[in-house]
Amino acid sequence: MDNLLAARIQMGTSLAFHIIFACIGMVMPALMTSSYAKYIRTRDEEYLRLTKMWMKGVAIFFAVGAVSGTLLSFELGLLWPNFMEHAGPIFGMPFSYEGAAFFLEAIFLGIFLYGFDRVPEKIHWISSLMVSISGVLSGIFITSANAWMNSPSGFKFDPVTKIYSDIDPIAAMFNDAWASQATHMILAAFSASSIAVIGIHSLLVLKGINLDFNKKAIKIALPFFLVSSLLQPLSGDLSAKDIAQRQPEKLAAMEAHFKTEKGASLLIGGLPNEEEETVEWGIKIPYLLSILSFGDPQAVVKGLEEFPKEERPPVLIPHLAFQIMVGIGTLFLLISLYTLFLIVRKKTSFPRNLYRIFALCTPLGFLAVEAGWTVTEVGRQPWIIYKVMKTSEALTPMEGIGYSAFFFIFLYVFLGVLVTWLFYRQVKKYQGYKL
Amino acid sequence: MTFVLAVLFISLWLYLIFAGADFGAGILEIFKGKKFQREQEALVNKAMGPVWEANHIWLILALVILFVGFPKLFKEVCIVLHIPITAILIGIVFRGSAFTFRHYDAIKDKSQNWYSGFFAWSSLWTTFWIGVSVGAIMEGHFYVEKVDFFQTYIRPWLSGFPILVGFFLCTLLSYITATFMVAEASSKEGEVRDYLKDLYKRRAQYSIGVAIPIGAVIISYGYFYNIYSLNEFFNNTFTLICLGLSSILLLLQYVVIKKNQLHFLKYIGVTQLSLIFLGVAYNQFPFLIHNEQTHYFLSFYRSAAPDAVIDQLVIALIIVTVIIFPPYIYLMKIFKEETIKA
Repeated sequence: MDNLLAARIQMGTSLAFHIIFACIGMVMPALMTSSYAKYIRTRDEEYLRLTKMWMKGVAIFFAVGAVSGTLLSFELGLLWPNFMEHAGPIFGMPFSYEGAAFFLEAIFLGIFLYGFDRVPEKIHWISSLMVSISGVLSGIFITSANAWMNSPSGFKFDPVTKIYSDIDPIAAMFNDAWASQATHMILAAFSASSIAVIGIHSLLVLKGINLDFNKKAIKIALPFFLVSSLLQPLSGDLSAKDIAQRQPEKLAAMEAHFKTEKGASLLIGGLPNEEEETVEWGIKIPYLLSILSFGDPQAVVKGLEEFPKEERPPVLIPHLAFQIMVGIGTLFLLISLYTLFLIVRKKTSFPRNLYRIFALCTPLGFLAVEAGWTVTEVGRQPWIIYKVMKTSEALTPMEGIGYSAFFFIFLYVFLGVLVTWLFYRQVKKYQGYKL
Repeated sequence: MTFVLAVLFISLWLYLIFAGADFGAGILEIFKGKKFQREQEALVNKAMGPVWEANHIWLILALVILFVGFPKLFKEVCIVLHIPITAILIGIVFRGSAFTFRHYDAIKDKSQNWYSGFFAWSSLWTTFWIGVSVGAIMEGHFYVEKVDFFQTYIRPWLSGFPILVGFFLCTLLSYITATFMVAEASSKEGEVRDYLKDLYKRRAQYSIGVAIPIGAVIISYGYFYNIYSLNEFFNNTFTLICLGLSSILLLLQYVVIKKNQLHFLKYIGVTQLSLIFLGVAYNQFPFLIHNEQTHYFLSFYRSAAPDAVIDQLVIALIIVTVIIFPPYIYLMKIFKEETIKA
């Protein structure tokens, strides 16, 4: 296999694996904190049981996430040494702070895990809160590092001599993309992880197991899902406008938008043909792309034809991934609105169908996270640092990366299966029933 | 710059001490005593439990300092030592997950044996490859010009010296941990305590019995094959003193075990390990790689990032230290109280 492709596959697999654990590591602690607070307020033992059950989950996911994160930080150097040589000093700040936030998370998780009946309850609760705060912080920092690759700043670059000068690490950390990207990522993490939690407990409700307990669990996770899913479309809109300005070719690839157009229409679905620069099937909604990108129905949206062929991102993958992400986001929005409607109407219990919908949605949030991340990474190609360094230039001279790529894929599949199995056993024990 | 180097040094040192004890505990599990196996595992869990997640952070901290502050150095090491570093990573994944699974699996059944097996063997594997990488850096078989695949990517670590260092690190860490565990075992009672204390004492003796000859072979090998780092040893009084002290402490350890003053063992072990680390690091500095045959030199100062970056790194490290330390100390404190109570 071609070394570049192999390295991209290995990096992609590692990130695809890690991102799920990172999301869970950010959100589960928040749920745990919330349920613990309920216990302290009501002294209802079921909330304590719930807290402890989620805590076990957090510990497993956190540990696996920590391991896969350690792996990733090494893989950056092993696969992309030329990138790290130049980018390291520039975008290293968010990494340093991410490391710190991760460390804090580990420390507070340690205090929380081992602190039952050992630490004053208030401090114990605060440590649980700190786990979730530092989890979110580390998510923000790491996304800021990724945002720098999309919107490099904080240095001067001479394209002829390839020299990087006048490095300002702080300016690099607060690059143009960090705020919109971090918001989008954090909301996505909350939306995806909380629907997964809700989904699993809904499945148990549908099976008629521990009804009271599982409904309480859903009640705790629901606000997180509702708020994040309602806000996510707004954040998505901001991101789209941002990308339209900064990375027009990425937007064009997401939309399979080949020809520059005034009053461009939004494409829903459709199968792009990159050779002939056409799209088969798909629905076009007039003017909507111009409105969504620039807030003006008559705005000109640049098509891929404006960019030299060797600097265009692939179209098929970002376009399909974008459809998946937006599709799921919209579905979540509708579900949230419906649920809110029920709550406002003071329905005391949800209809069975809603639990069915929740259960079916369990994996969808993570699918959307993977799709969204695919859009931003594949959509940035062929660049690793947008308009500064190509991914091919960053590659290690080491040969035979194909072997290591295969091996790592095997490793992650193995781990994934194992974690799922372990998780199944957790549920079996705590709920006293087989799923 | 000095500050950054100091933090780098300290974080590597802490990684060696804390994670070193983890690795050693894993290695010792391969040679578990026949009786009270679950008690032995429980002792390892108790010794590692709450802090082990935090231990890896020292490695990550060192890594971040390297690629932010000394990017050229990071790049070269990542390219040339691609294979052994990959091996380390695989080991870290297996031992990390196996340990967590063993601890948190809701249902305790036969799968526990699998987790334990994976944990033990991958601890040995990881320690070995860390040692090989350290040995490869000390030997410094790097080239300025790219040569063929074997010479560039294999020869730097596939040679006598790095492999010997790999074995040495394994025996050293299992020795240090065994001494730790002697002290830990005395918190137990009755038959279990006697059995475990005796067990770990013997493990300590075996490990050091292997470590000393390997150490001697490493030194003579380095001397005869003219490996720069080793030759420097003999000109470097400070390093010689460090290594000498570390060996003298062996005697003290013997006395302490004889006199049953077991709580001292921990401190002696840590001091020994620290002295070896200090001696080797001092000997290597300011170069990471120093090879006069291939004219390959990689010094910290010359591969440093621009001043603006180093300044920001210093600020970040200070902020991080101030934020991290109070909760870290607190965690250590409650954990320690727990041990005392037990």
